[in-house]
Amino acid sequence: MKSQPSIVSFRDVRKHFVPHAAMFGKASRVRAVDGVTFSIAPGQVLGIAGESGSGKSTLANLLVGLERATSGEIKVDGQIMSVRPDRGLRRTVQMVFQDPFASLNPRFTVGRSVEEPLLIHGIGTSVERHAQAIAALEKAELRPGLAFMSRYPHELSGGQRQRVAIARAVILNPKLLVADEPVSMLDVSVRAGILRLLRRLVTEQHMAMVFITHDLSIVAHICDELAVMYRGRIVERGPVLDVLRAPAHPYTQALIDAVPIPDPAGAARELPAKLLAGSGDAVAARGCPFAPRCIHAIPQCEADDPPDCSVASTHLTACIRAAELRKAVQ
Amino acid sequence: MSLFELDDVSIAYHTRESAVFAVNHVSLGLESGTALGLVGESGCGKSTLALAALGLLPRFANVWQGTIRFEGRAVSTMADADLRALRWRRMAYVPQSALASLVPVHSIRRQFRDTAAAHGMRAIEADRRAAELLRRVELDPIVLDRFPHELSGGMRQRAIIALALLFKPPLLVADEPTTGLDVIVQRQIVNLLIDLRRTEALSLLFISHDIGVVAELCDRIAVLYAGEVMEEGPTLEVLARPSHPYTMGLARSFPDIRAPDRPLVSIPGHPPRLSEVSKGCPFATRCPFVRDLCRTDKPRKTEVGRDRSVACHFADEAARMRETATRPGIWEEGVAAA
Repeated sequence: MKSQPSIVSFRDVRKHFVPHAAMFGKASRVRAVDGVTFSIAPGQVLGIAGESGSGKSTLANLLVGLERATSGEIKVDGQIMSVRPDRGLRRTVQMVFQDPFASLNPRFTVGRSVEEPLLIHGIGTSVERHAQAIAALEKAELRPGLAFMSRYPHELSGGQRQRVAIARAVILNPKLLVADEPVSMLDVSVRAGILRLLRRLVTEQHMAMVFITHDLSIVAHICDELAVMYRGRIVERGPVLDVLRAPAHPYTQALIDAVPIPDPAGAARELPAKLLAGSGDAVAARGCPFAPRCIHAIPQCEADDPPDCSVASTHLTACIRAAELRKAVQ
Repeated sequence: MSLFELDDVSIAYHTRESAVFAVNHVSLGLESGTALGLVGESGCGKSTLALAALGLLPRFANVWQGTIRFEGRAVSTMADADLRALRWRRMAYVPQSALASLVPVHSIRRQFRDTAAAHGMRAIEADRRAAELLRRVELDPIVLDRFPHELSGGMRQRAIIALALLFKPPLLVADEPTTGLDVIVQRQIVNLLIDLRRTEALSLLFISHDIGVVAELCDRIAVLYAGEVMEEGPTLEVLARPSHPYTMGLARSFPDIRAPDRPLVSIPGHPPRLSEVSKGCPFATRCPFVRDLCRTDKPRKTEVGRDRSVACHFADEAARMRETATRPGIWEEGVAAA
């Protein structure tokens, strides 16, 4: 699959924000996205995992053209993404949001919400649009689609609403789907169904998908590759099961250790004090951003930016001690 | 005697024309020094139960029948003045949104002092206690002079827990206290609550949709669905060997980080609306093992093993159903057939 041209590529992309206070020489710039590089081939799903403040939402905004990168190059479908991209480029990238209660207009019928992208892009007659909307709903497993067309969001469950939002996102046959925490607001019992639907659509429509999440326990059910972000940088990336089963970066390890498990056989898993203490500190311009919280940090970690080190051919981590820590475990 | 007890409780929300029931015939007990987890999907009545426990139901809702007892006294019929004497001093509340529950324009110190004053504690005592409690939840007492917006989500939630402990209440009612927090911060709060339970002999009524958090924190678990208790018992046993098909589905729909590629179950359909009152089992419309009896007759609570009960007509076939329920396909087929 590697030989296929990628649908989306990021090359050393940075997005820095200047806080208001900085105008008075007080605060330094916020490096929301700080040198991110990746690409995704058609039919592939890249998971971006990270906590709040990791830059994952800024990354989504850059992908859909809501923010302009400070530097670096973002290409979608061969074209360079800019702020307010032209109509053609906008069609190729669609987004599914976290909250299906907020992302659908409560005063629009389902039919109108799903048809709207066609209307905006001036596609088809009203009869054709109606038929396409029904087809899109059925693609999102809302059957029969016609039965949903005249309903309002408040008549639907959370899972059904998210399916409507997905139908609206795929009706234009986008090449890239950006899903920002699409299941985190939904009940646990319906999450797997939405994940399976997204996975199926990616395969069938040959799209690429960026799946943004804070929940590492679901990524294996949807992603091919996983990238873990910390303070604007990708600290580890690789095939999803490789990363989950053999995390190479101490931050990935900490995230996995913190996930609650539905089997309380063991005692409470203690967190290293250093991991908790450093969480609010500003990031230094140089060095590993995780070093202040890392129990394995050595002076060199704070001196230089860590290069990408290979754990395996497709599994990379930005940790200078990865190989040596791995040996210690084995 | 249980510290906290629900005896055949139904709670109604009233509209102009009619009433809908968010909680139906729920009986549960919480022994002193233990933790009870209430789990279920949104709309299953778990937050309504928490509010009722504290006597904080909105004006248009009431305990329609049954009794809620705390330390042997009926909370559900208590006068407001008596309730006020109980809250904070005997039972305290930790809500989900720490930002919404702190006054944004008051410093943390002021929030401690105001709470103290409302319940008869002097400011100097409140300050002393506040510093002590903040250290207990691993916050620097320097945050006393900070405002809520100056604290991170995890710090705010810890400040709220410290505030809830101001009068050393024997019972803490926590409604999704870690939802919306980052996973490392969530771990910190869960560890703190585990530690508080151990050192302060705190009892906990813990409401969550997250089975993992409940598993780590609670001795007992009650699984709610459409306002009814489907299954109740010791957490470990219920999760290891669920007796109700809903628990089986829920446990299998919850991902386990230790087995990242284990197939996940998705329970098709959605819970009944409050206005749709089912004659039979409320889960019948989504259950892959449904039979005619389930649609017509409400299953009674039956004992399965020690201190365990389940509301399913076919609880004696649980072992067979458990076997089948691990296959995600069975859940989807179930609905296609229905």
